[in-house]
Amino acid sequence: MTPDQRSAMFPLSKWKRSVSLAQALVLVVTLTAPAVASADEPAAEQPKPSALDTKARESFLRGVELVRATRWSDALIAFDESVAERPHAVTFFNMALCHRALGQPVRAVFSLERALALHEAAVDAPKDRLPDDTLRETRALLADLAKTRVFVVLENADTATDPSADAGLSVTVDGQSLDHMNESWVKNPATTTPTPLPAGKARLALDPGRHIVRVTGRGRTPWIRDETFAPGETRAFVVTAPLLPGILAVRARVPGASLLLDREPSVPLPVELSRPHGLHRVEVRKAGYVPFVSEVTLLPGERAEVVAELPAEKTPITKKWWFYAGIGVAVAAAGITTYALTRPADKADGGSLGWVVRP
Amino acid sequence: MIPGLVASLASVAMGCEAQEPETRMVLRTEPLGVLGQRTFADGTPVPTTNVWDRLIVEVRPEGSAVACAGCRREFPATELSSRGESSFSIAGEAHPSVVQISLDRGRVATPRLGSTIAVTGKVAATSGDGRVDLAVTLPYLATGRTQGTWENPLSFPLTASTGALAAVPEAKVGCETPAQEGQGCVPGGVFWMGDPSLDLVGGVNREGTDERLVVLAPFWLDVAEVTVGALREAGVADAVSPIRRSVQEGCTYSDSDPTNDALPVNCITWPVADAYCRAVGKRLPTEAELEYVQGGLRSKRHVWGDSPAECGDANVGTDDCGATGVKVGGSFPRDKLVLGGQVFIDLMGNVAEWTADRWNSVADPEACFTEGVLIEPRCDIDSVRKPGLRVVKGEGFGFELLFTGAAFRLGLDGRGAYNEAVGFRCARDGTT
Repeated sequence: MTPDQRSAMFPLSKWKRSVSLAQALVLVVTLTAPAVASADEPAAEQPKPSALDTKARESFLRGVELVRATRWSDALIAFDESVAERPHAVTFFNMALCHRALGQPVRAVFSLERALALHEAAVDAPKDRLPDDTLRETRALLADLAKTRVFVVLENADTATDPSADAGLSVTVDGQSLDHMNESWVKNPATTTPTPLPAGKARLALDPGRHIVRVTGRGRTPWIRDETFAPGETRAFVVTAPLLPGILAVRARVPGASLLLDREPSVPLPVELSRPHGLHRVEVRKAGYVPFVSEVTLLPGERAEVVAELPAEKTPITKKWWFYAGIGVAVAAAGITTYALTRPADKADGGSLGWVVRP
Repeated sequence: MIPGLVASLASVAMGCEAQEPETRMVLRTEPLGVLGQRTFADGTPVPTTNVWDRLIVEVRPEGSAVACAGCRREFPATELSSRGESSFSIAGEAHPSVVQISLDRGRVATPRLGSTIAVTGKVAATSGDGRVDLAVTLPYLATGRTQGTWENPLSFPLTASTGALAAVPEAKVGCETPAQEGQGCVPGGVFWMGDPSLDLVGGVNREGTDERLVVLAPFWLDVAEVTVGALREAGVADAVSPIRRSVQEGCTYSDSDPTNDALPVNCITWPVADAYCRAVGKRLPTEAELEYVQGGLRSKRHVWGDSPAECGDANVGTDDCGATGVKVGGSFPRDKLVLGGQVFIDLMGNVAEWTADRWNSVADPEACFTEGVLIEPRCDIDSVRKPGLRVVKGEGFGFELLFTGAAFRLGLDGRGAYNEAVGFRCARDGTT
């Protein structure tokens, strides 16, 4: 759904777009006034705009043009650029109007709060303050919009009793990451990277309507809520995301082998087993082959695949049945002799790459 | 726990035999199911990327800052066992050693993180006679993740990390969805997206130079660029896109004149290209899909191989080669790819082609394509610095010859930009 479609769904706009447009156009004059040369005043008395002011003004004017074209999202980008150069109460007010038109009361409220803060801070700079009528509108609009915000409180169950416990959980709302603004978390439509879920309680400020809140963590069962919220509603949830078991897949390069997992009774291979996360002992055996033993750390929710090499066993001559049957009483004396005789050429061959390193 | 890499230990007792103390390092690359020899239904081989070009091994006595004499070797990939298991020996060790093993694409002299599996681990001194086998598994999914350093090596044998053990999906050859006229099936596979040797503007422009190992499922792709006639027939052209031939010289589209119907349509915006593909039951290809095909499925610089592009290879280079405009598809015989009897034409030149992907530059704070292995990558994250752009791949007749290359990428405004050297073709999922 596009932002414009969203705005059409929610009956938020007591303010008509034409009103917003008119407001924005009036406010152009306010912001641009310092740069406009006046025939009544000597040029030397004109405050000379800095490079930053000039750039801010250009962006502001572009934003206003885009508002004229009802391109609210593009206008916001331009206003953003303007406040990045020079934050101004009027620009934030215009941004609030754009957010309002896009059906984003939460962002509109933050913009209005910022406009008021800048206005109040500019006690000695009349040009940086909101005109009186705009100030009244700002306050009225803020009071109106603040009532429509939805608050969702997420309580991280893993940190409810131990705030230092970090379960590695992350949260998205409607597939978007979150920004922390004025003690609340709000959606950041620019990115989709999940935001780490804070310890304890986290307050999300959302627009009214349907939202999908998704909490995930590596190896954890996702916690997902698909809910519809009425304007002004506050709802709390306890988030639990229990650890998933791991999957252990074991096979051998020779058929007919069997698995002893954590020394439990053997099962034929290949096999795929669900096991709790943690360290597991994998032992693969087949008569006539050298057993394979390894330890595998199984992470929650992940799949480990172990392929067992089972090289054929080279049976020492002392273990051949005929050695004892044929040599009889000579066994005790033959031990050392046999050892010496069966010793191989004794040089490492360097494996398949034919390389022997002697550090 | 060590993400990204696994090693397992198999100690082989040699009965009563005695040997020089030896550690046998057994290196296991991914089971080669995705890379083994595969064929099309007509028996011709599927072009396949040789993922690794070289193996670099260096051994140092523990605590030493340099390799011992004769303790560093580079092996070309041709010396690696085709069974995915290769080995060498560390013999006569009196002291522990540190071993660094790197599998690398090798496109440039210095291994780069994004195209390397590297592990550095300590091997204990072998006590007494006999041989100890240390098996180190180097799965594709460990690509781009360095494990251990000379200063802080891991200890062999490693405890298995489960995530890295998951194999990449098997790359099927054939498409499972029904065929459509004008499309050929591109087999799935593994390839390197990006080329560090791509030198754009003396290295100033890094776009397309980061390497990512990409896994793709089979997909359908138009064998040729979409033509003027096809676009008109679909009825998706709007009042301003594509730009009409009558409005601007060099643009091919006309609402009624059939003169250019066989030519690729150009001067077209992304929304109309997207609308056309949807209207005919297809979609725009992703950046990865087009680069895969433009590299001949073998991660080559061009569809014909690694040799530098020259005039006449493809319809590119107005300034360099005198390219004068869009040509009828297939006019440059070297600019084609034959896959199981299907011939894909004009992959490098004629018109550059819109993709479905949003432009996400290397300069963006949130990268779309991160280090490591990417499975069916598609970028839907808008650029922060340049929002609204879409990726264009391939070359158009008006581009410089220098820019010809599968890894070359360009960002154009997806909302309204057009260019007489930019057109498109469509793709479709090959699996359900």
